Amino acid sequence: MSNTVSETPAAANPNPSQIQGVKLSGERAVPVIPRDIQTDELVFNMGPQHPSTHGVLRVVLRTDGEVVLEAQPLIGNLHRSCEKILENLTYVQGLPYVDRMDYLGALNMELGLVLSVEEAGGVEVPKRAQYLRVIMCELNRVISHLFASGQFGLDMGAFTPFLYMFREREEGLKLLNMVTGGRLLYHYIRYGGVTRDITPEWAKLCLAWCDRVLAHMPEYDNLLTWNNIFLNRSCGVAILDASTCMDFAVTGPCLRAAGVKRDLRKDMPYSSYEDFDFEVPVGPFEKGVVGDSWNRYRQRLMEIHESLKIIRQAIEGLPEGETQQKKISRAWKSPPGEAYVASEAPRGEISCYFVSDGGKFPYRCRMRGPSFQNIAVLELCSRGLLIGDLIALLGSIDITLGEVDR
Amino acid sequence: MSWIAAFTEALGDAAENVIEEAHDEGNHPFVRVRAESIVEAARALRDKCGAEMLHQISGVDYAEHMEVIYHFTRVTRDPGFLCLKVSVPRDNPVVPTLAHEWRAANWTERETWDLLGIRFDGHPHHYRILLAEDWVGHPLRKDYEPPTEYHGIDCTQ
Repeated sequence: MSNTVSETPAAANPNPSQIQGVKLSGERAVPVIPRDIQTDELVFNMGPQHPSTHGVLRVVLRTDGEVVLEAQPLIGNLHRSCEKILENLTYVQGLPYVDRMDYLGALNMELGLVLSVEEAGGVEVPKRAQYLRVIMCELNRVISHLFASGQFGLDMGAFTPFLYMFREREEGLKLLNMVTGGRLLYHYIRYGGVTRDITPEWAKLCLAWCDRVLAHMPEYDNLLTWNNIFLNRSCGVAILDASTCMDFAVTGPCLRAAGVKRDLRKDMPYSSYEDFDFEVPVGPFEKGVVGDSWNRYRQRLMEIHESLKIIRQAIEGLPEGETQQKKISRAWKSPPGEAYVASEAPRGEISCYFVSDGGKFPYRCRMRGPSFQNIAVLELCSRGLLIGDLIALLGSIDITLGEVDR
Repeated sequence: MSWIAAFTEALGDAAENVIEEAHDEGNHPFVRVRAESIVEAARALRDKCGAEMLHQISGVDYAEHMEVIYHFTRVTRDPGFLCLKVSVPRDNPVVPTLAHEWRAANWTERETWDLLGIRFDGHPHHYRILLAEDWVGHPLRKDYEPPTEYHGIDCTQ
């Protein structure tokens, strides 16, 4: 038997999808395995209850041995039609539902909707409320990035760093709990401001937490970032280059790890982000190649540093004043108009296309979930990867299924 | 020069046939283009106005007609959003697909089809994405009636 690479296995081994109701696109990778060790093609499900799919993502794989020929993500298991729910509730009633879309970065999701509605309605937000939003959203970002990095380590077989990162994450969640009254879902940001002010005692606790996270960063690096096994598993694996990212509208840490310097907090500042001094880290970093799994992981750790800087500056420079615009009542409604405002969430750019007809309910709230756009690359970029590397791709993109399915 | 002026200039003589309405004021400037020219317009926006990323595709049901709203964004220089709108009749909403220009359009167009029932002509994988393939109706239409029962599951609660 010759040892050449086969051109197309489709003709030699026609194997239609064995899973009822699934239409695979038919575009597939050319297998890298020499013909004499090629095995039968298999079509099977990964998920929706597989721990490394981060929720209820179902991916139908066509594999040749360990190599993925074709992958079709099938989403919608968590679909609740949030956009329809928002159309049937008053402005104030609808806000807590937005939290449920991205349950790991709920404050950022709230901000995404609120910014658009405020833009269309011409609502001014007091400076103190803007700073409080920044503090809470950055806290939420650090917590989300800690979760993502720990979870990625877990996917790569490193259990211990996950526990170390969760230790700081849990303390951060307690801080958010003290102010907002919720651990994961907050309903904190309202139209025209925020619900509760912070106290000087809380500010001290928060600054101490920032110091603690910063002190623990070398620990994460020692445990995970420079771990040889982890490096071998993630360096040069599942590369998403800049042009692919632009093509698929991939945003956030994945885009920046591919070397594109785009951060809406710097490029189109909202909520007083222009007042703060911070850097936008971009790949490539010390190891691997630009846009690989390791760089996406590293990108998040670098962003934690910057977020901590912003929290510190916002707490120290917190202006006096109101936390909520008094004119916004319970029955507030936006005048007719539309707006499209985007903001930078932990997983990418959240935006809301908001249309108001002047009625009691919003006419249309089209939310952009960054995970929805980011996970679409799976179809293309998983072709030719090993199954284990597909998990590296999935883990390093960092998705929340609540926001993919909305 | 605003992006709308640059866009009109980029289209040249074709501008008359492509653009239906240009709205350059307020907080949300947009250009309404003819449905059949959306691909041409989007190409001009990408090649001449630097719109590198197709940020979002949204659909809105306006009772008398439907609209598809495309938000593009520039990435490498001068970040900002560029918006194209397309109006389609409600009884036969069809728009040419952008999935061959930007792969980001693939999933967002499928979602718009799924939730609003706007068809995208020439789409390579035109199936529902969030709802089940045998679901009846498109939930984000204003006259949508939710089913009372789905495969024996009571949906009235």
